[in-house]
Amino acid sequence: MSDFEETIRRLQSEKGVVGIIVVDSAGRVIHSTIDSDATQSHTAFLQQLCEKTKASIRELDSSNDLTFLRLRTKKNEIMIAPDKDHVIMVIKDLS
Amino acid sequence: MSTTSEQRKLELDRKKQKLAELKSQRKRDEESRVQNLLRAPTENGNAQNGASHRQTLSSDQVEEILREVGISAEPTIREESPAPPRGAHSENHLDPMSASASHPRISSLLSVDLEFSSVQTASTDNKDSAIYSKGTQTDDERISVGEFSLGSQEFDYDDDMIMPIDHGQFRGRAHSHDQDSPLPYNEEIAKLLGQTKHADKTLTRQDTEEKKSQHVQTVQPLSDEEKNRLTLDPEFLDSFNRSCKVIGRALNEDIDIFINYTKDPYEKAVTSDDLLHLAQVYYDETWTAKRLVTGMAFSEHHSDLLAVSYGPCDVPNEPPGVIVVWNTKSKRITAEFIVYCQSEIQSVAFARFHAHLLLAGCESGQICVWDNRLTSRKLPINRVSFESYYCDSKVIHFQSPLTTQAHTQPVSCLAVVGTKNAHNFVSLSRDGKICSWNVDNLTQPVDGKEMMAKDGKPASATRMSFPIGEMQTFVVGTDTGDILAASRNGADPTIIKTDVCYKGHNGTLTGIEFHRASGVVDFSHLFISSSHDWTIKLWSTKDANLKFSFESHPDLVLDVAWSPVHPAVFASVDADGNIFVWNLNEDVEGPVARLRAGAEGETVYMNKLIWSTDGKHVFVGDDEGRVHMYDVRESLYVLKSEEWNRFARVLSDMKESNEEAEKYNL
Repeated sequence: MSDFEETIRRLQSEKGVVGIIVVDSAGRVIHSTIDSDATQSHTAFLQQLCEKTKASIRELDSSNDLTFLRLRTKKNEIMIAPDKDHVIMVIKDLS
Repeated sequence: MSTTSEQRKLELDRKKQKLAELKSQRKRDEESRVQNLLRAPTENGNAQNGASHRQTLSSDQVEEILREVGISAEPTIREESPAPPRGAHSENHLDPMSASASHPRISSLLSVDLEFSSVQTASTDNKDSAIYSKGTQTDDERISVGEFSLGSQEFDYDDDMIMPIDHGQFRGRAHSHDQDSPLPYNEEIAKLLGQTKHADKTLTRQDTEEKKSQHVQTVQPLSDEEKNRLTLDPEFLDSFNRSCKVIGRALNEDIDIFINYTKDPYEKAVTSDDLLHLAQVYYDETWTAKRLVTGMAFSEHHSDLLAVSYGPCDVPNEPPGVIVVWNTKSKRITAEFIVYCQSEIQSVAFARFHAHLLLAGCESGQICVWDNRLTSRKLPINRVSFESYYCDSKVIHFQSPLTTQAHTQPVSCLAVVGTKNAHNFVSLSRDGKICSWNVDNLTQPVDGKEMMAKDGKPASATRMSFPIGEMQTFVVGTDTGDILAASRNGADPTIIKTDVCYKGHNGTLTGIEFHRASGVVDFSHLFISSSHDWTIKLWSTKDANLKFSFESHPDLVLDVAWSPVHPAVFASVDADGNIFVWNLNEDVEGPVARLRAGAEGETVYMNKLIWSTDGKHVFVGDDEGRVHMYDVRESLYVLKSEEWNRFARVLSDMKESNEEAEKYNL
């Protein structure tokens, strides 16, 4: 098992984690633990959200940058960790 | 004075004309170039107009106009001191002026308008809107198609103006616009438009190209090879692992950031769906809308069938009494049978030992019976009226006669008591008359007796309940709040004497029920009652000292019912729409679950309540024709054997405290 998969597996074994999506900076899926439809939709919307957030942060302070995005919703918590060449999205079930 | 004002008017008219000419010229020009701008936002359009004004009105003109309106135009500003901000202001200032030139009152207000020269705020305002448009420019493809380009030019201009560092540049630009204007206006505009147009075009092309490439990228997924290459790239892995660690820590952080320490735990229970959860609402637009739920009963043979009787609705020509038999196990809202009759239905019951019979007590005092079998004609029963009011092709309806032997008042309660081989159908009407029937023969009651209160007067009864497995003794709730316990088989053939009278309630009894759950300890002597006096009371037929009052409801309590499985659990509803579930093993002072039906601020009048036979759901009927099904938490129907002993202890504690209180009172 590669290092990459090992890390994904470890992350997935965390309590409440229902999905992990890794995409590259262009929004192409590198790895996903949920079905492709859900991956597609999540990627599309979350990527947009992430970009928008990033833009807003930079607009407010051009020397600043987004490092982590945590969304608390009624049903779940979505964590987005954007990096230079990839974005990791983790969906955690709250119940 | 008048002559000068006339002159001014004339002058203004001329200027207006000039402006219109310029505008139309520009418009034509633009129309020919930008065809796809069908619905350019008006805001941008305005900005453009402003731009055109500014560009076309050369500083010579400015000077001229200013002089005409009374300011001696300070030619020094323009020529000697470069003072760009002031020049800019005077120019900007011109905008509202020239716009207001169309206003007739301008002439009289001229001096005021002149004071406007301090309208420095106006220029900043302009700048503001410019920034806004800039934002849209980056945002919206449509706007960027051409409209913004002019704007952006203008904004550059403005930006320069507010930046004193850019002095030289500004001046340069000011020249190009203001002083290089020996060129005819049209030509100038055309040139300007052409430039910007061109720039704009290249810009949008770049834009779309970028977008296109991005689009293409998202469409093409990564190949496995690429993925592999990426996942083995040490640099990628490094940053990936770092991000994963962050996420891991975020995941493990189990602090509840939404915790509210000031929240009242009691209040919390009101909104929590911990123990109660709305699962389904049974409702039918044609049959049940706007009807009060008057009664509910579960079939013993088919525990998923719930018969609900509905009161009259305001719509004429609709039958006043309707019963809908809902299938509660079905995921979809399914009405298995719908039956109706021409009298309001007050109560409903399934015939316990005849799976196919549905009984209903009417406002008129009649008892109606429906048979849902296809071959109901085989029944060897003679009934008086064979009016068959249809419902489902299978359902035939019968009605008992109106005789003095039977009921002449609304039948408020029905019960089938006894065993398979020896059973009776007992009905109670509002005047306190209790009739026993043979289910197979409804032409006349087996007996009909008047319920007498202790003082020998007839009691007006509202509710009745028989203990589990008992068919003789029963309790009746009355309008006054008293509860009368009696036995059906008295010596007197016409009256039933009250054996015991339980006093305590001060309002009409709305619900009364004997304990239902059977287990290692026998609690069948317990019964519970709800009343209009906002309380619920617990009684025992065995022990006068064993009683308790529950006073948590904030309104008239309209019904109460024991859980069929848990010995210490009962549920109650009130006129305010509250549904309370009580677990006496946990709390005798208040409910363990509270839920308010309906939206915020809306009051749902909850009239009837019933537990499903397995104790997993509570069904509540309201006055709009809806039956709400609530799922109950597991802890209320999956129980340990110790619950029985615990409940026995709770009861003995209650009794003890009652005895003690009595001692002190004496």
